[in-house]
Amino acid sequence: MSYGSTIKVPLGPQHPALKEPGNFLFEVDGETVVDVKPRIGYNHRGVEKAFELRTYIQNIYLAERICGICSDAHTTCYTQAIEELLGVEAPPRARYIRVIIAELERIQSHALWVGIAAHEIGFDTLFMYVWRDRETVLDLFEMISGNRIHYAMNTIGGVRRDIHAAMVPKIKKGLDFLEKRLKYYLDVVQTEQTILKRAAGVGVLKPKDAVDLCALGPTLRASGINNDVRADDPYAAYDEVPFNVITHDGCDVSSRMLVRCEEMLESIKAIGYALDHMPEGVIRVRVPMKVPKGEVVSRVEAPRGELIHYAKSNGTTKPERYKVRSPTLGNIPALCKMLLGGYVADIPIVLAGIDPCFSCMDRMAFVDVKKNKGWNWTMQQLRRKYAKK
Amino acid sequence: MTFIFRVLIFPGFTFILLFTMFCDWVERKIEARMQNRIGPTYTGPAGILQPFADFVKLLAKEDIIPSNTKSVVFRFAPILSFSIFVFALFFLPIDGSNVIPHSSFEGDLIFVLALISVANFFLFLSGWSSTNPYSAIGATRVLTQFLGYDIPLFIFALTSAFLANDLSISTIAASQNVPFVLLIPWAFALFIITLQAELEKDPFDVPHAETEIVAGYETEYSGRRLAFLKLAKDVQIVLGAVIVVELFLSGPYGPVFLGLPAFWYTLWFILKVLFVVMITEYLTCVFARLRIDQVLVINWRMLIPLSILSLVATVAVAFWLNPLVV
Repeated sequence: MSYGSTIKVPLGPQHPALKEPGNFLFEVDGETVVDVKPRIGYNHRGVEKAFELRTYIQNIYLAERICGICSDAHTTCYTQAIEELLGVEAPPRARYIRVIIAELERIQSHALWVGIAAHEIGFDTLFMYVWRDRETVLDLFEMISGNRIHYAMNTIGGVRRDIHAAMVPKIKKGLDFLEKRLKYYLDVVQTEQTILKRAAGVGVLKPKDAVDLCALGPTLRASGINNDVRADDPYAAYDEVPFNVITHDGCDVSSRMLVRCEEMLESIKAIGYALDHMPEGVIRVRVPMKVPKGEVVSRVEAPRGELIHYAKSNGTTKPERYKVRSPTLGNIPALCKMLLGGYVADIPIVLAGIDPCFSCMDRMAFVDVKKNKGWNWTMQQLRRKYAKK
Repeated sequence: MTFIFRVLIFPGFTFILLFTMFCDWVERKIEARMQNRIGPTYTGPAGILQPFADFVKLLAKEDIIPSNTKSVVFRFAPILSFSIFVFALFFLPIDGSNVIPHSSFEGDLIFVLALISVANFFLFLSGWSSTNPYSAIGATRVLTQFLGYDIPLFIFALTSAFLANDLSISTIAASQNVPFVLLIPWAFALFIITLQAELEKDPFDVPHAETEIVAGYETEYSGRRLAFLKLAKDVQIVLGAVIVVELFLSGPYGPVFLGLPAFWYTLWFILKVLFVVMITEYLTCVFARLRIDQVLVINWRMLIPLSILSLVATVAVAFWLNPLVV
């Protein structure tokens, strides 16, 4: 393949298709994409350093703010890690509440994605409808936790708020309504011809490539690989709550839509089961401020895929090192593979197909690709290099 | 005096402008209601003045011209495109006769359709002269799309002309004792679909697919020029709807009751145009946007053969339909 006649088309960091800053440089031959260079790091917030400066309790709120949409996944992952370091376990009722909140969050995140995907292919009517119905979940969150987005439900050793008996029928009523609507949307994305024309066979990621490039979550499951942390390494109460791992083997954007729509329906079933089988008892156990020495890796299936937190403690009230790997970062190599060979007009929908959350994923490391080495800089070194003279 | 009144006030420039803004408001309301939103509510009763407020706001905004544009074309393309669309409307009977009295001539259907092509070409030039990659892509898409869809649009328009046995729009409209939509419904349906592409509405709104190419050919425009570009688009939508009304819905003609015929003709005209606007808005709401290659495939593989087929079918049934045509 020659690159003689190609032109370079940049996308982002400011572009209507990307709600968050990320940059992709496309080599385009006519209408076909022949090369993609992703550039990330526009929204580096120094989250990991901030973790080291705060106490374990303060860090719950910091973890919540890594992502706006999957805030619960981050706190679940964080509290799980610290609980393991402390050697305590959340009470059974708390574990069930964590499942309920996590699945509600999955519904609202996937619903948000379906709306954005519809918008990317110019189907604003579906976008408005899905987002209207998504409000149901947000209202349920408001009833349970008082907040629509940052629920602040998790704490080290359990959850902060109980789901009372009076809330259960309201949640079920909301979910019944949602189930009806979601079945309708599932029908729409399967049968509406203009959606199929834009989504079927677009952004293909073969199962082998998906595994080789470490794709995650719904993107991986849409390539026919059965992989879900909830099933493979159950946390919270996922070992007791039955649910199916949804896979589709279309390997394209259409499959990713189907996987997400069907996962929402699975989540509704799981929440129904969890509400019915919630054990009685306390919702949290008290834990000491100081965390014993050790290191731990915690995994959670966030709506976008597998989320990994790593914590290293040195026996004080603050972690010594904290590392967050959000699912979007894991999906970037697979995304580049999907975009190759596609049409320029398909770039937005393929990009949106992995449900990117660029702001959650940006971490900082210095890498010299040519010399193949990475290093860290201290604040003084950075200042010396980049401060204005 | 009548001449000046007709051209400047009614049914000429002022009426067309106000009617365009009214149609814009109706469109926005319909689209909003179909998408379960409210639509404009703030300016005037039920937000009816919103299009006017938007226009005035854009007029007052700073007008930025990118330093490396081919500036003469960039400056005049929006105005020219707007004025050609309005000029084309002058040849269409609105209150029973044309805006400029006795300006109708044999073959003005071809003339009006040609004016639309020229105005579309100015929209292309406006994007092309912006020297912005998004504008350039949007502009080439305008050109690709309207070159393709002009052909079926012409052929469908000729179907009506054939049935009326005349090439002047006012005669075609006046000869529809029974509206042609009832006689040749297939041509009407296909004409609306073609128009959808001509007006760059969903599922054919690729020239300004905002998630792909920002605002397409409008990207570099701001202030007054953007105001006129937007107004040109709105007039184009009205013009498209009016052509459908003239060719298939018996133009402004309809039952006349008490009072001036001109009043009733204008009323029928407005109601019919709103009906067509409603259909196009409905289509816009229920489809996703196609890709440019899919748009072209639909054009060359489906609409052009269908347009010829529809002409053939009309010729075949014309013998039985002719008694119904004046």
